[in-house]
Amino acid sequence: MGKFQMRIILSLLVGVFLAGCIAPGKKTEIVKADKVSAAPVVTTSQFKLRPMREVQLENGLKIIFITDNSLPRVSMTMLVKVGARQDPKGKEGVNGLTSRLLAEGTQSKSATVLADELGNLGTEIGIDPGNDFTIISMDSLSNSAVKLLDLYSDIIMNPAFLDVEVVRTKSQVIAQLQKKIDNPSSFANDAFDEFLYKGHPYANDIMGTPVSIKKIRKQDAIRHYLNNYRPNNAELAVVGRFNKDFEAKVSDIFKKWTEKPIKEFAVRELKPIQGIEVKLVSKPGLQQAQIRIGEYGIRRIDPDFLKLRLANVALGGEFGSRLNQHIRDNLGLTYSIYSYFDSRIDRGPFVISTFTKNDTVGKTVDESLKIFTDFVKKGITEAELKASKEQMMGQFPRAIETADLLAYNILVLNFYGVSLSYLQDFMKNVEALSLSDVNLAIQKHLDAKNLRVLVYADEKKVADQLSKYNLVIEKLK
Amino acid sequence: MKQLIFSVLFLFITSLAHGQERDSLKINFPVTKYKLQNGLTVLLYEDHSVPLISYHTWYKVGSRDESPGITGSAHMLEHMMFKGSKKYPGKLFDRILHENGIVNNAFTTYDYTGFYESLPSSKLEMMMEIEVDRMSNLNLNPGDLQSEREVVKEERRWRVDNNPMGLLMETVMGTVFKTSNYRWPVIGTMKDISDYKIETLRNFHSIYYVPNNAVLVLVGDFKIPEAKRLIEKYYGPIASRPLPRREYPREATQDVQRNATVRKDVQGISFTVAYDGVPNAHPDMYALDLAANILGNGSSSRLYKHLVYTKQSATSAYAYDTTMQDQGVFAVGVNLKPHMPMQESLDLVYQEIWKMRNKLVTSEELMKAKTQVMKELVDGLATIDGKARALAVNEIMTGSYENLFKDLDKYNAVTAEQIKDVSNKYLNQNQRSIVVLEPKGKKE
Repeated sequence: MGKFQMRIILSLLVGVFLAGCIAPGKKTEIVKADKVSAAPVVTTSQFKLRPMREVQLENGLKIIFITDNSLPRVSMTMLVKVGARQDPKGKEGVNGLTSRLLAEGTQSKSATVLADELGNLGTEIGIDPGNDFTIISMDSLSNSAVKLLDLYSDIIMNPAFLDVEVVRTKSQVIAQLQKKIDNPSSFANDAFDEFLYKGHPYANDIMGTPVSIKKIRKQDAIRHYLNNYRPNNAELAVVGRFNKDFEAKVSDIFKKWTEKPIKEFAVRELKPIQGIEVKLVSKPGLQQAQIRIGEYGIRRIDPDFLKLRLANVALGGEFGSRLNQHIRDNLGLTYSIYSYFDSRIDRGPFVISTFTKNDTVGKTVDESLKIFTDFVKKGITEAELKASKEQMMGQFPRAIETADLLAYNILVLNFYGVSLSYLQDFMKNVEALSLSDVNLAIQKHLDAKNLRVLVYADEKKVADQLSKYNLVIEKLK
Repeated sequence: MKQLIFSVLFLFITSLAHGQERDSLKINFPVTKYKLQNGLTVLLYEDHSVPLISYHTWYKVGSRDESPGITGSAHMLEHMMFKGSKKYPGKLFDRILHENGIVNNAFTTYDYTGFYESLPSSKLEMMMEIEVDRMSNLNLNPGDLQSEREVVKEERRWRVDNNPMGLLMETVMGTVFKTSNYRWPVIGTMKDISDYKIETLRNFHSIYYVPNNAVLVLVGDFKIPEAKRLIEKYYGPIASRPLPRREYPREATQDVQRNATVRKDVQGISFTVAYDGVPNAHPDMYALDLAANILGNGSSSRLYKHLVYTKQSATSAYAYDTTMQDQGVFAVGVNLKPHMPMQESLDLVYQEIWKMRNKLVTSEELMKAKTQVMKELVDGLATIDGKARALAVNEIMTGSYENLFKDLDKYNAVTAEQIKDVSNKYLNQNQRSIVVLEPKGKKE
């Protein structure tokens, strides 16, 4: 669309969220009877965070209000504490499907009426089911804030789950799952999750499989909604240009939402990785190989989180990192190589992600493993420590540059039981990290001898390059 | 202690008398614009919301400045800009940025090439020295070209050759354009990437990477007088050079429908119906943008409702109006579900295009489209980087950043009649191209 085609993608969000530090979990103080408490202004050594106010409704819903008058807009973001991790065996994708169905009609508005009314506000509803939690977000220009609130609350509190919409949405999800293979990068990501986490819910696609989606009935989605999409299992952030009346209106509407006891879900054990296990998923005709190398990383609440985040900056977090400098710049083997920790409730993955032409698959795997082995064995250098600190501290403000970003970070921190000192003391905590702290954490949590490697490529073109590994081949049609 | 002061843009919203009517929005913020003697265009905007600066250097050179045999060389040169300059040779560029908390990247389009950094405010002078050195003293070593060429080949495989949707997009441009320089891909053909000579890139750099062909945009935590002093100190001494006469082959008028089919190992058919559109800032752009919006922007659009919701034949349907410097493409795209035949959905697209040409869009649709455009503009200005990009793209494409602030009025002025008129003018059968991506082995 002309000049407006340029959209700003805030991919930084997850990266910097991961960059955050961990402080001991602190439970939010519950203020009964919808009393509003003014949270103190949180300060860092560099600047102040925006002021925010918290309300805890009697039904358990916590609401955070952050005023931001810089633009004429209002946004609402809700984190619901349920994800694919809780999907029952055989009905994988039930949370993904249930969350999608929220947008497919309420008890008073059909799916198309809802779409039109959202469109009139210039918005769409954002529904993002994840492994651990689900995000539901919407925004509008501030002159439509009341209408936004009406639609948003209706979608969350009064979904219709009509038969026709369940059937239609299931068909849509199944088609999307079938077409997943057409995008090699995202297909490889999913194949790697499946390989790394076999037997654990993190192995599953968040939207399930065509087989599991077929098995899910309307009643499954309704039950899942009633058991999990509850005020005492959610937290809401309201951000933007609004006044006190609007804040009161938000509380008034959401206080009608009925709470319910929420079932606890236990952390699941992970099966140990035995040596370097390499799996080749083969599809004939691929002209480039996708490569993922990884292992179990850490839980989000692990006290070594910040140390490993810093270590990762040096390994594969930036252009100046070891993996990028060697595999891309020196050897010209790829256009992109990076590593990351995706820390979750259970131990989320640590992954090195890249791609290369068919001829150089063996070399790329070998060289990446060499870099990783050296990194685990020797740790990072004093110069890398210094540079990584500069990167993390220098770019940290971008993570909370907008009120929306700040709100999202707070919701996620609260979910994982991480104190707001994550943001408050970020600079101080990064600055205080020593070389031995970081290198001990690397050795404690990463293991270069027990890894899983996934290659998605054409077997005929690449299998012989991987023959020295204990190779398992899965052939796609 | 440095305090975070939230920027309140000079941006206001005024409501009309009746609640049911749309509110009008005016957007403006005070930008300082000037030109150095050497022709460098400078845009400065102080925004102290975070202790960072968004630093953009855009050059008016893109793939349209290439010729057959050296396609993709503007993009290749963009890559080589990270391989060292006289004062910062080899890997020093990456290392210095890494050690100073700076993140950076770049992009190339048909019309321009942009380099950008996000830097802590204290690093402005250092960053400027580096940017100036690679503008005027880029090394361009043949050895670096050898390894970076392989990187770009991987990029092409990733974006196009091993990516069916990327291949479809490339084929659309190659089908719509037959004589203009937009007919080849920005990344270039694999053959040309394999054959670049260092002299070609040196020539490109020496012609186009000159101050009088560049726009420098700084948005963020700095003081304008100090920024001006630094800009004069570092950019001032660079000599301007006469730019070549920019004449590009015009696209010949299309008088018959074009068809192209790509077969790949995909699960379902995707197709695009594309039309030769208008260049950026053309008076008809605003109505065409809104037409695309009404047809295919989001789940309330006409195409989504018909194809995804009612017929349930597609996983997605969309429309876009892309406007480059000399030409444009208006297109409708549909991704069908696996095993779904194409003809019925294609007929539905034709019907919707016919309606755009023959019937007025409703006032609700028009209002919705305008609101969506307005909101997209507001959302794009949420960060300092968003503001810098918006200023840069307007300056480089239209010659004035101020068009950023004028466009809303132009969109708001569009009428249903104008949408019908431009649909009639541009969305003709003779001017369309049908490009299909279909599964290999599909029976004819």
